[in-house]
Amino acid sequence: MEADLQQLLAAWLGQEIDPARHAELIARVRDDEAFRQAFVAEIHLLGMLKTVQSPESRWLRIEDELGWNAPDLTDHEALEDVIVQQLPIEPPAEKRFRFTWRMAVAASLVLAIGAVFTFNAVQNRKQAPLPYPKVDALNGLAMFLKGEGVKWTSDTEPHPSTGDILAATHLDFTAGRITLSMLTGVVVEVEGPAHLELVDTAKVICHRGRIRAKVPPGAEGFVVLGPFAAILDLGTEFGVNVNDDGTMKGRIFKGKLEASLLGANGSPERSYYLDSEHADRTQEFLIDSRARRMDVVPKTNDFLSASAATALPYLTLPQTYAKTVLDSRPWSYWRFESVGSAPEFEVKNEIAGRPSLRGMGHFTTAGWPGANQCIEFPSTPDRQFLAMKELWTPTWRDGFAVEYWCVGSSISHSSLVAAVAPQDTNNHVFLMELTSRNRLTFHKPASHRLLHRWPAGWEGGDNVYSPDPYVPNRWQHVVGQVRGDRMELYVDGEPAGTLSIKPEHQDTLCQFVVGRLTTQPGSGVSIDRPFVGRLDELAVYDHPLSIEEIRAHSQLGHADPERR
Amino acid sequence: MRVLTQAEVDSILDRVENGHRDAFRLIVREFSLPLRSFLASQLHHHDDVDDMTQDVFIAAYRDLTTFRRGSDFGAWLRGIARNKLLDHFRSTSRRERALDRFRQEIGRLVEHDLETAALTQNAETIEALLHCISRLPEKLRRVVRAGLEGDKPAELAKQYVTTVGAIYNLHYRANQLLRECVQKGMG
Repeated sequence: MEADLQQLLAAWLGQEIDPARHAELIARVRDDEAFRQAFVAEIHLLGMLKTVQSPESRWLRIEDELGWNAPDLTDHEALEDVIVQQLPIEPPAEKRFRFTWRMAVAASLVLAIGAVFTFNAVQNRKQAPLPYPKVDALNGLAMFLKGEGVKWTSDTEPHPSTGDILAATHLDFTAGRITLSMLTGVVVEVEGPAHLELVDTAKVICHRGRIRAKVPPGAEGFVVLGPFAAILDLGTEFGVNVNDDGTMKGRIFKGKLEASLLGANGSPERSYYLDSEHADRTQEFLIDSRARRMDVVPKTNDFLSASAATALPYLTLPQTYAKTVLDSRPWSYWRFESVGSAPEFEVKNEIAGRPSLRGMGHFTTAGWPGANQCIEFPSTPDRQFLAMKELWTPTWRDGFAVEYWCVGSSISHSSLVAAVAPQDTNNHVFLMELTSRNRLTFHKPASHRLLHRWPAGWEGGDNVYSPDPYVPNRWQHVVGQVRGDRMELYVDGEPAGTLSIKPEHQDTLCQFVVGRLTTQPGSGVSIDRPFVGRLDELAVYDHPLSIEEIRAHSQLGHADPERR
Repeated sequence: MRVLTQAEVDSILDRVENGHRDAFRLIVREFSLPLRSFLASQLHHHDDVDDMTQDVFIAAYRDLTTFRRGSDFGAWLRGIARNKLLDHFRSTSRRERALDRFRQEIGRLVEHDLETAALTQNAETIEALLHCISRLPEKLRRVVRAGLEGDKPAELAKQYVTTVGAIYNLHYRANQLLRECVQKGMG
């Protein structure tokens, strides 16, 4: 243990040290991240050691406050667990009774019923599905988005639910429909009976079942393998049916793909190029690997139809939300209660004298009439973004924070807030994004990303990624901030990551762009990263927020799934 | 000990709000160890830790309606605890005392990292520690059992005929072994 750490621990534990050392140790804790982490690890563990080696408290004041009868907790542990998890809501136990013979009879009855209930509950618990194992997005291939009427082949294995990240795995079910998003953004719908094997982010094997895949720009090259057959996507929406007799039928709905009959070594023996844009081109094919045949067939309708697009939820906020934000003294605050109309999209700033946001695109507001509204960024091939009417100077010295609520419609690399300097370039000093997997960048996929770059540039920088993935169609509260020599990311009111940064900044005028990486025309991973989804309550602060403020803001909002 | 799922915690809190006060026992049982541990990392005296733990649970019970279901209840409790700690330090420390000012400044600087560390910890992690302590070599176990509070390092140094610095180093080594052991056990 190094001497500084020992001295710091001694002082932390109440022992006097030379006061002349105080300033040096404070500076070391502030500036040396490794030292600070080592100290935190020590006091964190010392706290745990003190706790496990001390007797359990009696909690007498809590008993007084709540009017507990102080039974032995451990004696009733199993029964309490069962009661809490299984019994319907009980009437409030507000009144205390004196113990009478009636109570004795009642107690006997309760015990008898409880015994039966406990037995049943234990049986039920044995049959309860296990939680699906958590997979970090770095090691994941896809996210489970939706299951409808799914009957899994195995009753004993854990099954994924909405938001679970999937590693390489088999998905085997006898009925129903599932929707996955590969972490590249490719959306795969599968109808049972089906057996799908996830191999990597760009390849699945369909052993059986009906598939419909939609491949967004940038994720081209997605492959579906069947029995001695393969489909290579070239930017498409397509359907594939793998039948029980081993035949594979495919159809192009939009775009282009190449379908192949594979030889014994996996190389394509025969292939067709399918193009939805040309009526005289192949649109549908049948591969019979046993007969070693691949034929063009007339178009049919026995493919999986696209499920209706899932409507994004509204964001429900209490009337007090704006006041709570204003209490935190934002430098600017845009609520998106109205956005104007083309070609003059303009969002007013709630802070008098501060700039509005000007829009380029086709924005609308979304929300129940009379209730909170948010802005919707629709899917469009056109350039679309909002930008502050004046340039913004990040307050590096005092720190600053950017706060918003967002919900994306898919897994897609998309920029929410970008500080660009000089304007209309792709040089950033600050960026908040949602990520996906792609071949040209090294980001952790399906995560919130906070980026700091100094000096402004288009490559490198300091990154923080959220530990948990974002889930399409789910509102989240996000804060990215700079506090002295640290950048901090918070998601849904909780710390999601922090990183030290060099505090050597100069005042720089930045273009504040919302919903797109840059204002530059064109497309590509370093140009557009368009956001498709809904955004609300965007606030910029000229100081960092405390964790209590962030939690207070986050706890006020929730999605309203009934109101689309 | 089985760790409650978030849905189970929410269900218990709903029951408490509906008047079933006894269900709050399950909350205390689930969260008391991590909460005491969080407070013990910042308070010297065992009695202070338990007093403040009770204060936090009582405040949480009174303000339960403001807790948003689906959020991390442990983090919410720590938020309350942080405010209680601030009040405690304001009322007990003497601003003119350099060590108190120093501790407050250090506390402020590590607040975020302590919260991040606490996020990965639950009652199961803390209980795994007990098992790991029992697996330490005898000398390290004695140092860990004694702790580093007050005069303990000096007493141990005398007992082992060594320096206070050596006792800190032994504890540091023990902590490294404990972290590895807990990590293996939880993995």
